Parts: sequence; C-alpha cells; structure tokens
Amino acid sequence: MSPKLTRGTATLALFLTTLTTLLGGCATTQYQPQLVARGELTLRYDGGFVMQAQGKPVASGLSYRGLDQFVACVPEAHRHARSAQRHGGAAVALSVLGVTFSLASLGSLVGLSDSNHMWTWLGAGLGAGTIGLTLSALSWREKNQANGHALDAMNHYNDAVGSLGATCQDLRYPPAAGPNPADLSPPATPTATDLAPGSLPPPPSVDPSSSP
Amino acid sequence: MRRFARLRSTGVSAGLLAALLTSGCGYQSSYVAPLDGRARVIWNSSDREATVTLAGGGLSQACEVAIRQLTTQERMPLEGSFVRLPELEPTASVTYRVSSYGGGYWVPRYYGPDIIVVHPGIPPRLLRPPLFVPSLVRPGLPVYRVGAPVGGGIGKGGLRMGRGGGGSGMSGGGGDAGKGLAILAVIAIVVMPVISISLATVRPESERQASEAIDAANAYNDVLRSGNSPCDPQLATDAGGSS
Repeated sequence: MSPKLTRGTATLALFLTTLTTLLGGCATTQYQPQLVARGELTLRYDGGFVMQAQGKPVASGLSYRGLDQFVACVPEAHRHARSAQRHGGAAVALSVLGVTFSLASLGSLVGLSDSNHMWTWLGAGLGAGTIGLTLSALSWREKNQANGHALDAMNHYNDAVGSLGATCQDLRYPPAAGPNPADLSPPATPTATDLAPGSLPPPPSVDPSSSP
Repeated sequence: MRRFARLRSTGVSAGLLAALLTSGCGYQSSYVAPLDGRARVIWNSSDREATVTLAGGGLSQACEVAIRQLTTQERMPLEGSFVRLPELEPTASVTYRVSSYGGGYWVPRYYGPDIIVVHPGIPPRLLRPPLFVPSLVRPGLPVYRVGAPVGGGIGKGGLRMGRGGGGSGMSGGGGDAGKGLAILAVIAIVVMPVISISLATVRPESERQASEAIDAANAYNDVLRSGNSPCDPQLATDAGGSS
C-alpha cells in the first residue's frame, strides 16, 4: 500500500475516534440544591459526578479523592468510598494504557509501506490493538464500579449522618421534630379480661410445682 | 490461509473479549434506601445508570410541575423507568421558588427519637430510620406507583462491540488472498483503536440521565423541605392521589 493511503487510513481512524468521543454528550445539572443539611452530601454532574457539602466540592469522579475521609465515621460508607477510589484509579490507569496501545496499533500502519516486513507490522498492530481494546474494556468496567461505589458511599453516609444535620467532624444531631408516628401506638381496645373500674387486682398466680 | 485464520481469530476474540468485559460484571449495588421520604440518587444495577428513588414519597401532578419548573428537565429517571414531566404552561399561575438560607444550613426536621451519640465520633446505629415525611406511615396512604415508562434512555449503551474482527466475508478476491488478508488486517487495526479509545475516554454513564436524576432528587427534596409542599404525600392524597 502507498504511504498516502496509509496516512489516509490513520487519519480516518483518528477522525472516527474523535467523533465518537464528542458524541458522548456534555449534559450538566441545571439545579443547585437550596435547602441542604449541615453535613449533607449532594450531587451535581459536570463531566462526571461531583459530590459537595457545605457549598464546597468534596470529591469528584473518577478519582473520588477525599470521599473516604469525609465519610470516615460511617463504616459502610467508608468501605464503599475506598472501593470507589480504588476502582477510579484503576480506571484511569487502564484508560491511559488502553489509549497508548491503541495509538501504537495505529502507528503500525506505517509498516504498510515496508513491503518486506509488512506482515510483521500488521501482526504487531493487531496484537497492540487487541491489548489496547482489552485494557480499555477493563477501564470501562472499572469506571462503572467506581461510580456505583461512590453513590453507595454517599447514600450510606447521608442516611446515618449527613441528611440528619451532622458531620463526621462534628457529630452532633439536631433534636427530632417529633416522634415517629409509627411509634405512637393506638390505645388498646378493652377486652373481657380487663379490670372493671375500682376492682381489685387478681391474686398472684403460684406455680404448684414450686411449692415445698 | 493460516495467517488469515489467525488474524480472524484474533479479531473475533478481541471483539468477544471486549463485549464480555463491558457487558458483564457491572457494579451490583446492595444499597436499599429506607422509606423515609427523602429522595436519593441511587445506582440502578440493572442498567448501570444513576436513577432516583423517592424512598416512599409521592409524586403528584403538582409535584411534577414544581420539579419541571425548578429544573427545566423534561423527564425524571425513577427506579428503572422514566416519568415525563408535564409541559409548562406559559401562563402558569403558580411559580415554585425555593429560597435558600443565604449561606446558612437547613436544619433537618426528622421524626423519631432524638439521636444521641454514645461513643464520640461514631454515629449511633438507628434501629428504625427517622422519617422526614411523617405522613408516610399514615394508614390508607396510596402506594406510590410510577406511570408508564416513556421511551428511550435506559440501557442505551450504544456501543457496538464485536465489529473489530473485520468479518468473515472474504471469499477469494480473485486468488489474491494475501492482499485481501492485508486489507482485513488494516480494517481491524483501524477499527479496534476507534472502539478502544472511545471506551477509554467516554464515560460509561449517560450524562443526560445522570443530570436528570440529580436535578430531580435535589429539586424534590427542596420542594419537600420548603414546607406546604406539593410533593408531600399527604397533600398528594388530598389532591387526588399520586400519578
């Protein structure tokens, strides 16, 4: 193949890649929460999940750095936050490696002009492409895991601390506004065995087997 | 032909491997939201997207209108489906506004026993989660159900995997198998990086759905917390039930 054709092929591949990436969309959140409890973690989306509390960003995807410290007092949230950070870091590393191998694969197209070693070039390109694709697929899965763990960490933390007005740094809860209506049991309906007003209580029962 | 077989098997296995790695083994969330009336963005394990749960809360028509006004979003991802938010009338008589506390914090109103920290630094285990909406336990309250799902969105991975192999349609090419083989290899080398770089750079979640879910949950909680809310299940019941 001619070098001109090789360059054209590589350019086409890069164009397709850029197009696919750009078609991913860039939606962001439109609404900023107004009534937020003191330690409550809220979400917004701006090219990724961003968690914020007290008006300041706490962590953002994919690294979610800082989330584990913020939710450290809730063990389950802490565990999920650590997992989110671990998977997020792995996703970034795998993405970089995947892109590197993929670009190397595209680079192998220059071998098409080397007719003596063309098959070596193509074989190497296919190998690099396969490795790159595998690493990128793994990174996709790691991103998914990171986001899922991060949302779970936020929800566990908010359930126990954040949405109730406390923070891990200052674990004080405001008083309840009232009792849980489910705890207010309705008055028991009188039965036939209930005492009539003014009657004496029944004598204590004695177990016959316990008598000397 | 041995080369062709090797190239083909490499391409097919690469496509299969990528499809396997991306389709299976997604994150399975074990989180179950308590039914306390606070909306949350949760991870929907089935479609691996962010979605909203109302945690026992209701969604009346007036509540949907309020969310639409506040967020300007057209739909709301809700527990595996979508609720299309109503169109806003230009001459709407009621405009919902939620005023912030000007830098202060909202003091949560929860119903249940006072939460007392016994061990400093360790939140107490709540045997029964406190309620943010006390009317949730009212007897006779209709069970909230989401309307019929509207189209599109969920499960739209959009990735077409497995094309990297270059196909098996090579049948001769006039006896010049080597040339056809080289063309196939070039196609594979071009297609695989496109898929690979897309997988590496594009986010797995639907940005639109994530934004809609977050906006809806934030707006719903704000409306509920601002008092006399159209999202209160009690008011929804009085106004004719939930949608």
